[in-house]
Amino acid sequence: MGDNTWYPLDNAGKLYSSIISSRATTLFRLSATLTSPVHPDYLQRALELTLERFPLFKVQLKQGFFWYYFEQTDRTPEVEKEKYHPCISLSIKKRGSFPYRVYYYNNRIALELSHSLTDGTGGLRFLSEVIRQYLHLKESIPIKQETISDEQLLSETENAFRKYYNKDIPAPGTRLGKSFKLPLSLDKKGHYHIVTGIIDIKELKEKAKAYHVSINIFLTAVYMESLLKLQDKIAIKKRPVVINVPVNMRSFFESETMRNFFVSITPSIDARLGEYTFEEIIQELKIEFSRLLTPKKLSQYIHRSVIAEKSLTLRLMPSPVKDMIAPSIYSFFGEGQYTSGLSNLGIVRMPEETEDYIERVECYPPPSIGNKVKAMITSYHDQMYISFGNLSKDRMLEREFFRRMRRLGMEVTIETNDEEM
Amino acid sequence: MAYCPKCGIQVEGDNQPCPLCSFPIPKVNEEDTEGLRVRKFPKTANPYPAYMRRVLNRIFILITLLVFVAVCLMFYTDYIMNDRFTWSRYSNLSVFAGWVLLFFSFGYVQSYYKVIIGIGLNALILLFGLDVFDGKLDWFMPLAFPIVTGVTVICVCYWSVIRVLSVRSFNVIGSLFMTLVILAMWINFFIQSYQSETNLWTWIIVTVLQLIPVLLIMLVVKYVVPERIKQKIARKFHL
Repeated sequence: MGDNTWYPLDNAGKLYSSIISSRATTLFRLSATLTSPVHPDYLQRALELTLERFPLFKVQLKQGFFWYYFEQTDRTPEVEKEKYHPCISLSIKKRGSFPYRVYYYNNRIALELSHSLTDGTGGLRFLSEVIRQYLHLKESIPIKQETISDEQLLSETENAFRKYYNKDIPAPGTRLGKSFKLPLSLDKKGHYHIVTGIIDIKELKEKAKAYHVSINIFLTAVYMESLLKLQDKIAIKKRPVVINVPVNMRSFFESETMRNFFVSITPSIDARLGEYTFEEIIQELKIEFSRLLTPKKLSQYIHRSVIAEKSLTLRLMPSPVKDMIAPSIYSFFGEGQYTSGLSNLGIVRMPEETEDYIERVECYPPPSIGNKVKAMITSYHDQMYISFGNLSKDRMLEREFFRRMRRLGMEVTIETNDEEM
Repeated sequence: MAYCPKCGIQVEGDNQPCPLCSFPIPKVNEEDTEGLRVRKFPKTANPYPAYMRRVLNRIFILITLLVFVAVCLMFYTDYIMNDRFTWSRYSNLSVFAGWVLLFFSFGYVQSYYKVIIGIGLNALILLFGLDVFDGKLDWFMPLAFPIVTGVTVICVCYWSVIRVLSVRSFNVIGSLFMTLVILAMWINFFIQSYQSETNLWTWIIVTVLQLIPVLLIMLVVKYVVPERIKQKIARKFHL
């Protein structure tokens, strides 16, 4: 591979690269806590080995005339001891900076990735390879060193949005309009407040089963109910509550890509129609999820993702101009229309040989100004980790959500990052 | 493990406020576990204040260089045209005074007292220069000096009052109006005396007459207006 290799960004990446700011860093965190303290030298070596396997990550973000792009680099990122708040204080546009960083702290390895590079699934694959290599070096677990063929590289770096884009399919006609917003005020720059709730997955499964739905729908319903309750308490004028739920498209369309391949569906409950019981919310969400989560419907969402970047006006606009208008466009048409976001990475499976050494896997959502509080969920072994990321100090949603979980009869253990401030 | 009695959630450390509702979670562990607990997050640093300072410093240095070039250019042009410094003295002194104002606005001086006194001195030097450049002092002593000094002293007094107020909100606005009245009357006094039309007693009466309604409004707001309306006003004006 030559030094001049470069990759154009995928559709989601193009948008994210233009909206980056000191607060909305687009960084999300995937972290694994091991059974023993992390050794930085081994971790550095493991990262270097992983980058040989995933050359897509050995890149830096560069500004082109019309779009940003990733350029292959000879430099290697260095692992750092964690020193800042999660998902913040990294300017990936700075010369020499990578679109991700690898942190270690005590037993934890944390990978913070910009959404312009990849999504949760791609990030998890990268993290699991780092951990596999690390444990091979540190604990001498036997692994098979993989090399990447040109064919594999092509399939891993493909723009899957483009692959499944069909210009004859119409975009979904959903205009959301104004939605309920939580009245949260921003904390200082450089601060990001995380609340993680740990719940036993068996208990959760039983509860969801009692309502005849999946855990995902069940949690979305609790989330929705908490937001509706908050609206009842604080809002004078009622508005629909809209949650942004990213869907991993690899489950519906075959793709090996390590880049972004997700679309967002937006289940909503219109609070103006009256009060909803928990059962009604579950019923609505169940119908909405089964209606939307089919390859046919989702291909409409792919269409919508691709069509935006195909517009001639947008293509001819110089990238500094895009940088100026993208944040407003995104907040107006994108996250400005949602009340909050809930992303479920599902059950995380680490390579079998490494499982004994990994205690837990967590993920934190990227900070965003339009949705000051968002949540991200992972399950590992028999625990589920629900992490709220909040740019404000006010924890009204976290409080409402976890109190509701308690009332539903589930044990919740809470951890936060603010004791260390 | 400890529980928050209000939220019902479990937390690792006891004897501290609940992370969700700040309700004090009682001590439940017999032995002291605080020292034994492994930290989950590091003591974090915040790089943004230092970053912002660096950016501001760069902007200020750039502006300073531009000011320096502009001042040199004006002196040079003036000297070439008139064989001595004429108009450039006025323009350059003004540019310099503007630069001093920028110096204060970039936050290099932290104390507000120093900023107020600094801006006052800057104005005095500027006005003294503008008056003296034509050979004699004309209006500086009867007008500029007392007005600028007075304004500085009044601003320092206002800031001191604001600092000692235990309840700010409406008091800040009330004392602002009173300061404005005193300020306007102070300026008025010296302009009138320059025009030789002053009568000290009339002036004092007019000032007091203006202060009385402001004082009355403050008293009404404090003792007559119901709490609900007070809160509404406070909300509307972000007091």
